[in-house]
Amino acid sequence: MKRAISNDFFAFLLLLLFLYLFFFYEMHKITFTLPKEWAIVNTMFLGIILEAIPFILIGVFVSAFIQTFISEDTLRRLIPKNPYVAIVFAAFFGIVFPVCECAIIPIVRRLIRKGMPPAVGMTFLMSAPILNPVVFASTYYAFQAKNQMAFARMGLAFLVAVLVGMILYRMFKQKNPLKTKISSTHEHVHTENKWKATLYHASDEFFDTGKYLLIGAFLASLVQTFLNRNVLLQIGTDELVSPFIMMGFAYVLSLCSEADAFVAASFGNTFSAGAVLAFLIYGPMLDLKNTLMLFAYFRKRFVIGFILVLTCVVYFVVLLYQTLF
Amino acid sequence: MSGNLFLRGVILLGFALLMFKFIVTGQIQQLIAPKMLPFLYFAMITLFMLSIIQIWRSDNKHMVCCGCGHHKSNARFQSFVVYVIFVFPVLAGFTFSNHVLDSSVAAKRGIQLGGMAGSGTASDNEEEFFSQLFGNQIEEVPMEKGEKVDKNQLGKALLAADKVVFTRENYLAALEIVHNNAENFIGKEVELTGFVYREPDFAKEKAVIARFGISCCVADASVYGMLVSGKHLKSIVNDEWVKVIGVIKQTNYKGNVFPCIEIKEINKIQQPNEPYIYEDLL
Repeated sequence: MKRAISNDFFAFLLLLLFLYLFFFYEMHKITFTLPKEWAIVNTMFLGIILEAIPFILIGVFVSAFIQTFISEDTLRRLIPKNPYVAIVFAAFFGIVFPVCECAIIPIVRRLIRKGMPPAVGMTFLMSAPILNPVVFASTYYAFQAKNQMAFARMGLAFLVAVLVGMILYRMFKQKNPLKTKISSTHEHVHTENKWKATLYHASDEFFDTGKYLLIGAFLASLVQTFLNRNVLLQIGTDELVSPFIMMGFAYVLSLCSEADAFVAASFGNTFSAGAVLAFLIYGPMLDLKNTLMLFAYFRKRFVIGFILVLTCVVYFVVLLYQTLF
Repeated sequence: MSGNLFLRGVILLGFALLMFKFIVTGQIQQLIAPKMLPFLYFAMITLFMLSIIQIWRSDNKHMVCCGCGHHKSNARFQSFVVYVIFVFPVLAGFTFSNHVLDSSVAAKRGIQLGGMAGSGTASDNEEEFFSQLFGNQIEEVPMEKGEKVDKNQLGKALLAADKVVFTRENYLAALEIVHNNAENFIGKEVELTGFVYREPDFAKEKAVIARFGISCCVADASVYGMLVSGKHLKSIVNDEWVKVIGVIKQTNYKGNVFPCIEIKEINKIQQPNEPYIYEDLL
């Protein structure tokens, strides 16, 4: 009881502080400033999280909606019986159900918990942030003079998602990849009203997912500020090395899949098409921002397996593309 | 556990207030692109609603939160860390977020001369534009604020105009047109606004006049600009905002031929309220 009161007191002070800052604090009148580089880190960080929060909220709501309104049985009936068919189906599903990489993790976690086979869920997780109309449009626009890039991105992403999904299926079969610990937190909100339950789930999950997003966004903003991109060019524009470098670069930058094409385009003159495609495919499927979320929700072995398989598959698919075209 | 629910409510309210303040003061433009604003409105309203619900729920003792069984002393410390993680960005946002990207960022990202690099070669569109070019004349520049940039139209208008004026709205498209069709623009008068940026190997009389372009949020900002040269530049340091009037000629840079502005007149200006340009979709 005492603890609850001290918490309330702390929260109340925080409320007053927020209100003070909101109404009375004027930034431009304050002469004290952060060191320049940290001010840039701060700007990047706020940019990334303000950009991501709406989509996390969408993901969290869809997840909460699935939790309250879609039963295990319904889900089982919707997914094809044959796992390989289901994986291909999941790779296509992003086209009708566009979600970006921030929103997708809570949704997939919920689907797997509801009984979706893990490999199918992960296929959806990989394909949805790329194979959707919004990302196609922005890629097409960013690479106006090379519009084969947008098509290649879609095609290769589909191929990668299906291949990785099938390998994961062979590796992990139906074993539950989710951590069991966390699941106890959300499963028993007792309430009469389903809509109210959805809202409660949503705000709990916002905090659950949000903390990893915030840490990841902070790390990404450090990279954004301190990494000198010319270094990438010095490491190598070699055919074999460059896809790998661009994948690592996509990983640490943690950009939205809608925006990354514009950054990729800036490397269009210095890196090969294959390397740029590696950047465009790997980044939305896996980055610094969402690795932490994956580790929080899935078993360590599963996440490491996923990362290794994905990295190899993207690399080889890109090499294949380079030799063919 | 009512304390935690109340605290969560307050934190959600903090995020909503921060977004609201950014939107009202217009500062949001320095963090995310205008096309993302509807999503931000949605987030602000949702967070505000969720916060009210949390605070109301915290007062409702029989609706106990499900997480409460797990809070041992260790978990208590952990949850403290989690709340610090959430409070930090709100405080940082309210206090130190008015920094505008400058040439130190440009140096790390590399600069792009001539609009989007992906469109470095002439596209079909432009060939078509040249075939039509000398057929019909266009008298006025059709650029209104917020109007979609039509490159063909803009190209004709720029060529027909006495003076090529780069505005915030046509900036990217105009850069691209001038760079892709440089030979047609040589000798033309031009007016360009931006901040001064120099590569380490630049002489004092040489610089790039650049602006940051954002497609979704500042994290994806790229630097777009045009080479300028002239004695007037000597007195101007990096990051200074200037308005340049000059004539387009060609120059060699890193083994390639680029259009370059020979400066006739240069004026220092205040950093504009809207320093960035936005890569609008289609």
